[in-house]
Amino acid sequence: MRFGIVDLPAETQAFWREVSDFLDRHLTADVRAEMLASGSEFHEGFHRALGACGWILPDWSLEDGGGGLDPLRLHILRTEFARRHVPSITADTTYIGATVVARWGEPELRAAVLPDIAAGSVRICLGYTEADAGSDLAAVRTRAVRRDDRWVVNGSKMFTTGAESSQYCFLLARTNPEVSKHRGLTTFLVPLTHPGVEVRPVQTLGGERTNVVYYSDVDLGDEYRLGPVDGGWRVMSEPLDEEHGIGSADVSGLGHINGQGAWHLRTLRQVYAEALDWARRADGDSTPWDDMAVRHGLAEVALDLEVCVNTPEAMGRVIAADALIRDTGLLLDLVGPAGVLSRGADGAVASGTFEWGHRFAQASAIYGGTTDIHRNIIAERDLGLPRRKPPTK
Amino acid sequence: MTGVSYDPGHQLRWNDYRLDDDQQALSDAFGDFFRKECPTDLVRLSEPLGFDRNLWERLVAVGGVSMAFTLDEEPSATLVDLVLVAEQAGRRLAPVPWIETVVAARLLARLGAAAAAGSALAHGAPLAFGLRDVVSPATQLVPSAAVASAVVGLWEGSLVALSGSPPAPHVPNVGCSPLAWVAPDHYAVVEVLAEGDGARAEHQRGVQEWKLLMAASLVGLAEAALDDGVEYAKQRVAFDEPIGAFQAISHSLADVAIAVEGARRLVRKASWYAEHDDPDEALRLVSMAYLYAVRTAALATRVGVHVQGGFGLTLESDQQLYFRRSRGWPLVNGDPRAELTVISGTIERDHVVAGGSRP
Repeated sequence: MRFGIVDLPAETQAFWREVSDFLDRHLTADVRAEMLASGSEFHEGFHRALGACGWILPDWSLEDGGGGLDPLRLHILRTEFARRHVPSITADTTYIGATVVARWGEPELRAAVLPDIAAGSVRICLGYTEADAGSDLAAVRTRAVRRDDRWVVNGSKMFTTGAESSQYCFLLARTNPEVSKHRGLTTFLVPLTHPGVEVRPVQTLGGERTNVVYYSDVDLGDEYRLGPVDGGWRVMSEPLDEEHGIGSADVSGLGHINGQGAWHLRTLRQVYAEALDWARRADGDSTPWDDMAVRHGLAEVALDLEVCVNTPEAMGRVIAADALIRDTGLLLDLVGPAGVLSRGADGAVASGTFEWGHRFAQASAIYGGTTDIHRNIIAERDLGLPRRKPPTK
Repeated sequence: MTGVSYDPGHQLRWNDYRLDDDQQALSDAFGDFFRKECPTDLVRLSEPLGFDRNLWERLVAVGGVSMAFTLDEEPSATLVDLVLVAEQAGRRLAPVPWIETVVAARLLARLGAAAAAGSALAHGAPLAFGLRDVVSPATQLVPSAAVASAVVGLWEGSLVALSGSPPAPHVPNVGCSPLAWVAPDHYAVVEVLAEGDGARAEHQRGVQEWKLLMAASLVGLAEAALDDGVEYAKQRVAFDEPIGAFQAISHSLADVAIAVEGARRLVRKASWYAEHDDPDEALRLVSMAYLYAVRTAALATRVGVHVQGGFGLTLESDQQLYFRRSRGWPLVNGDPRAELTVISGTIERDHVVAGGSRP
C-alpha cells in the first residue's frame, strides 16, 4: 500500500505545466460554453488542438499519430483534464472507435482514417443500442445484408451521441438472424456521409443532445467491416468492458481504481465545489455554512466522494452513479427555493447548477449499461450467484 | 470551475491499495488463526459475556497482542498491520477484548507507564478503554471492562489507569460484548497518566485508533454476513429457482458487496495515513472510514437477515450473530453521525476558511 506523494522528475513536472498551459490557451470560457451548448461536449477547434498535440490518442505511439505518452504522463494528462473538468464525450467515443479500427480494420481502412482521427479532423460516434434494445445490446435488429462483396444496412440506432459532429459511426448490426442472438452480429465503420444515413437530434432531460440515426438501404463496401462476420459481439465487447472498468485493473498503482464511475465523480465534484462556494456566501449576517444541517449535508457528499474513489471497477460505476443522483438531489434540497430557478433566471443560485446537476445526474445510472446490468455482473462474477433461467416459451 | 490554473505545488499521489508480501502473509496467518480457533459455535458459547478465555490465551500466545506495542525502542506492528488483523478477527466475531487491549496498551506504552497497569500489560491480561470524555456523572459504559484487569480512560480531564480490583460487573447488551459501567472509585488503584490538554490529546489518539480498528472489524463482520447470505441464496430454492437468481435478492447482495469492498479499501487507506504521520488527512479519513464501515455493517446484516427470510430471524441462523454485533460493537461510541461534524470540520479547514475550492 502506498498513498504518498509521487516523486516527479523535472521533465514530468514540465509536461504537467505543458498540459496546464494548453488548457489555459485552448479551453477558454467561450469554448467551454460552446461545448456545453453542443450537448455532446464537442468543439471543433479544441478537438483539433488536442489532435495537434497527439492527445486524442495520447497513449498511441508518435508514428501512429498518438502522443507517445508513458503511463505516468498519461496519468498526469488525465488527472489535469479531470481537475479542470474538460468535457470529452465525443473525444472518448472517437478513442474507442479508433481502438477498434486499429485492432480489426483492413490496412487500407486504417490508412484512410486513422491519421485523420489522430489529427482531429475525423470523429467517431457509437451506434450500439436501439429503441427496443436498451441494455440488451444483443437484441439489436438493425440489419446488414450481404450483397455480393458489399453490405446493405437497414434500421435505426438510438442514443448515437455526437453523430452530428462525427464522420463515422461504429455500428453494431445483425448479419445472421438464424443463430443465437449474440452470435449473428457484425460491426462496421459506417461513413455518415453515405446516402441513406439520416441523423435526427434527440434532446434529453439533462440537456445533452443525442441522436437517432436512421439507415435506409445504406450501401457499404466490405472494407468497412471491422472483425469477422458474425463475430461482432466480441469486437464490441472489448472496448465496452474497458468502458465498464472490467479487466482494466490498474497495476501501476497510480491510476484511479473507479473505472467508468470516475465520470460521474467528475460531475459530482463540480456540483460539490459550487455548493461549497454557495455555503460560504453571506446571506444577510450569516452564511449557509452556519447551519449545521448544511454542514452535515456537505459532509455526506464529501464522504460519498471519498467512498467512490475507493471503490473499484464495476462496483465503482454503480456506487458513483447512485451517489451522483442522491447527492445532487440533496444539494438541490439544501440550497432552498431559489435552487429551482434556471440558468439566467433572476436570482438563480449558482446559475442553476444544482437543478441542472440533478437533471444531468439521472442519466448516469443508465448510459454505458445501466446500474442494474452492473449489479447483475457483480452478482454473477464476484458473488457467483446463479443467473435466472430464461422463461420457457 | 474555470480559472483553476496550474499550481506548481500540485502533487500527484500514489493510489496503490495492494498489500506487500509481509502484509499479505500477516493477513493470511491471522485469517487462518481465527478461522480455525473461532467457529461460530464458540461465538455462541461465549454469550452473553462475549469472552472466551482460551481463545484470548491462544491469541496472546501467537503474539497477537504483543505485536501491537513496544515498551522499549523496538518497532511494533503498524496501524496498517493491526487493521489487517482486526478485519480477520471481525470476520469470525472473535469474542476477545483485542481492540480495547491494543488501544489501551499502545497508549500506556506511549506514556511510558510501567506501574500497575503496565504490569497487567506485560502479563497479557485484557485491558479496557473508555471512549467517552466523562465529566459528570462519573460513570461510563466501557467496552471490555467486564473482563479487563485494567481500564484506561478519561475522567474529568485526567487520563487514568484503573486497576487492583476485580472487573466491574457485566451488563447484558445487544452485541454480547463484555460491557460494564465503570467509575474510578470502583478500583483500588487509580494512576493518573496525563492531565489537561495532553490527556485529551492522548485520549483522542486512542479513540482514533479504536475507531480505525473497529471499522476494520466491522468490514470483516460485514463480509462474513455477505458470504453467509450469498451461500444461502445459492442453496435455497423457491418458485423453482435458487433465490439468488432473483434480482430482488441478488441486487441487494451486490449492493452489500460494493459497500464492503469500498469500506475495506477506505479503512486500509485511512490506516496508511494514520501510520504515515499525516494527521489532517488521517482525521478526515478515519472519521469517514469509521462512519462508512458502521453503515456498511448495518446494511450487510439487515440484508443478510432479510435474504434468509424467516430462517434469518431464528437463533439457529448466524445472521443474528452478525446483526446484533453490527449495532452493539460500534454504538458504545455513540451516534456514528457525530463523524459528520468532524468531516465538516475538515471541509471548513480545506475549503471554507481558506476561501477557495480545492479542485
